[in-house]
Amino acid sequence: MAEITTLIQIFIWGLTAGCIYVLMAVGLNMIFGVMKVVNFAHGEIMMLGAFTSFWVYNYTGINPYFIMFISMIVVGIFGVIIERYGFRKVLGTGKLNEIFLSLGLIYIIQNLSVKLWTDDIRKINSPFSSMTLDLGMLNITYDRLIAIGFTALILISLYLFLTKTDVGRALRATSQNHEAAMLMGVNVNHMYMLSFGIGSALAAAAGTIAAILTPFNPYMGTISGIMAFTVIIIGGLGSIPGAIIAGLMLGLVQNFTIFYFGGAWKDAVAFVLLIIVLIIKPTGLFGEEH
Amino acid sequence: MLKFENVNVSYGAVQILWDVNFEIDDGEIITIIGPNGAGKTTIAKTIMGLFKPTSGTIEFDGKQIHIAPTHQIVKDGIALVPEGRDLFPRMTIMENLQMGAHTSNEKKETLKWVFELFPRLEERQKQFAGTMSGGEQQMLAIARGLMSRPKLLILDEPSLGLSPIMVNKVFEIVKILKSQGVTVLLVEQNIHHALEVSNRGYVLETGRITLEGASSELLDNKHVKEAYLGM
Ligand SMILES: Nc1ncnc2c1ncn2[C@@H]1O[C@H](COP(=O)(O)OP(=O)(O)OP(=O)(O)O)[C@@H](O)[C@H]1O
Ligand SMILES: [Mg+2]
Repeated sequence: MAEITTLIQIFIWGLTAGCIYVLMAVGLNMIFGVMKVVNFAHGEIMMLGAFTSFWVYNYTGINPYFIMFISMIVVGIFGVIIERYGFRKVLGTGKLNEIFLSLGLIYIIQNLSVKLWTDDIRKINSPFSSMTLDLGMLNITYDRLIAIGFTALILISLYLFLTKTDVGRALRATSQNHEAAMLMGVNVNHMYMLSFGIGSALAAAAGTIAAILTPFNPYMGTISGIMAFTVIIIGGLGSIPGAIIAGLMLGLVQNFTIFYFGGAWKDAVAFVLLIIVLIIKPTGLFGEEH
Repeated sequence: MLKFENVNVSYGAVQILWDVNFEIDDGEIITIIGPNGAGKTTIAKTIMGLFKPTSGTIEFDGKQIHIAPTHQIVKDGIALVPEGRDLFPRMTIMENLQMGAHTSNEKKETLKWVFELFPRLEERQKQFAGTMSGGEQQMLAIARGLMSRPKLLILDEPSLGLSPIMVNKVFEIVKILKSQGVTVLLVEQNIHHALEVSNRGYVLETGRITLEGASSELLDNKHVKEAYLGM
C-alpha cells in the first residue's frame, strides 16, 4: 500500500490532467451540441492555443496565466473563421464531407506549424514553476493548483453565460432543437460561429495549461484530441456535465494506472474505460436515450 | 396582411404545394383544413421561411417574405406554434417563454399578458418543459409563440392528441386572442371546432386549395360534410 501522501500527489496530478481533458471535451461538446459536427482537428486548435501563448510569452514576458486569456480570444476568433469559411460550407452536404474537412485541417494546421515553428520541444516557463505548496510530506506545485483554479473559473463563467444571458440561452436552445430555435428568431448561423469560437477558446486554455505543465511541440494535439473524443463518448455526446465528470475520471484513472502499472498503459486504459462504459450504458454516462 | 400568390413548393423532385393562393386580413381567424399529407404543415413552414417556394410570392405587411431568412420573418411579426410543439425539453417553462421573446423588447409586459392567459404556467415556471403532460406542453407552446407579440400567430394542429378538456381550452384561447385582435392562422383536423372560431376557411387537398369560403358556408358544404365531418 502506497503512502497516503503519494496517493494525494497522484490525485492532484490526475485532477490537473483531468482539467485539460475537461476543457478540451467541453469545447468539443459545445460545437457538437450546437452544430452536430465533430471537429477532429480540435487537438490542433489546442496546439495553436499553446503556440499563441508561447509566442506572446516569448515576446512580452508577461504572466502566462494572463496570456492564456489573450490566446483564448485569438484562437476563438480563428475558430469562428474556420466555422464560417470551412464547416459552414459543407454543413448538410453529408457527414463524410464534414469528417474529411476536419481530418484535412489536422494535417494542414500541423504541417504549417512544423514549417513555421519546427518540431522542437518547447515549454512555457511559469513564474511559479519552482514554487510548491509545502504540506509536510506533501509537495504540490503551484502551477497545478492554479490550473485547477482556472479551469473551475472558466467552467463557472461558461455556466453563467449559458444559463443567465440571452445569447447563452439561445445557444442551448439551438443545441436542443435547431428548427425551434430558428422559429424563436434565433439566427442559427451566429450560434454556429459562437459555438466554434467558444469551443476553440476552451481548447486554447487547455493548450496553454498543458504547455505550462509539460513540454510540447506541434504534435501535442494528436493524442489530446483523441482523448477529448474518448471523454465526450464516455460522458455522453453533447453533455457538458458528462464531459466534466468523464474528463476528471479519465485524468484520475490514467494517473493511478501509471503509478500502479506503468506509463505504457496510460493510453490503453482510456479505451478500456471507454469500452466498459459503453457496455454498461451505450449512450455514455450522461448521454440521452433516443 | 398575408398573401400567397401562386406558391409552389417541392421537396427535391416531389412537388408538395401547387399554385397555392390565399389571403389573411388583419384581425381575421383563418382555418386551413385538409387530410393527412395534404401539405398543411408545408404551408406553415413555408410562411416561416423553413422551405423556399420554387415559384410564387408570399407577401406580409407589404413585404416579400419568401426570400427572407426565418429569424427575419419572426422579427417581422409572424410566430409559428409547430405541429408536435417542439419545446426545449431541458429548459424550464420560464426559459422556454424567454426564448419566445428572443426578438422582443417588451418582455416584462408580454410575460404578464401571457401569464394572464395561462395562469398554470406562472405557478410552475421552474418546471422543465420535458416533464409536462401533452396538454400543458401545448399551452406552453402557444404561450411561447405569443411571447414575440406576433401580428400573425400560426397554430399547426394545436389540438392534436389532446383530451377533450384541453381541446376546449385551446379553442377558448383562440377566441380570447380573436377578441384581442390577434390574427390567427389555424391548421386543424378538428374541423368543427376550428371553423366555429374562424371567419373563413380553406380546404387543401394534395397540395391544392380546392375550396374556400366563410366558415359557416364550409360547415354547410356537402363535400366538407361528407369528407371531413363524416355526415
Ligand atoms: N422533409 C420531408 N421530405 C420529403 N417529403 C416530406 C417531408 N415532409 C413532408 N413530406 C411530404 O410532404 C407532404 C405534405 O406533408 P405535410 O406535413 O405538409 O402534410 P400535412 O397536411 O401537414 O399532414 P398532417 O395532417 O399529417 O400533418 C406529405 O406527402 C409528406 O409525406
Ligand atoms: Mg401537418
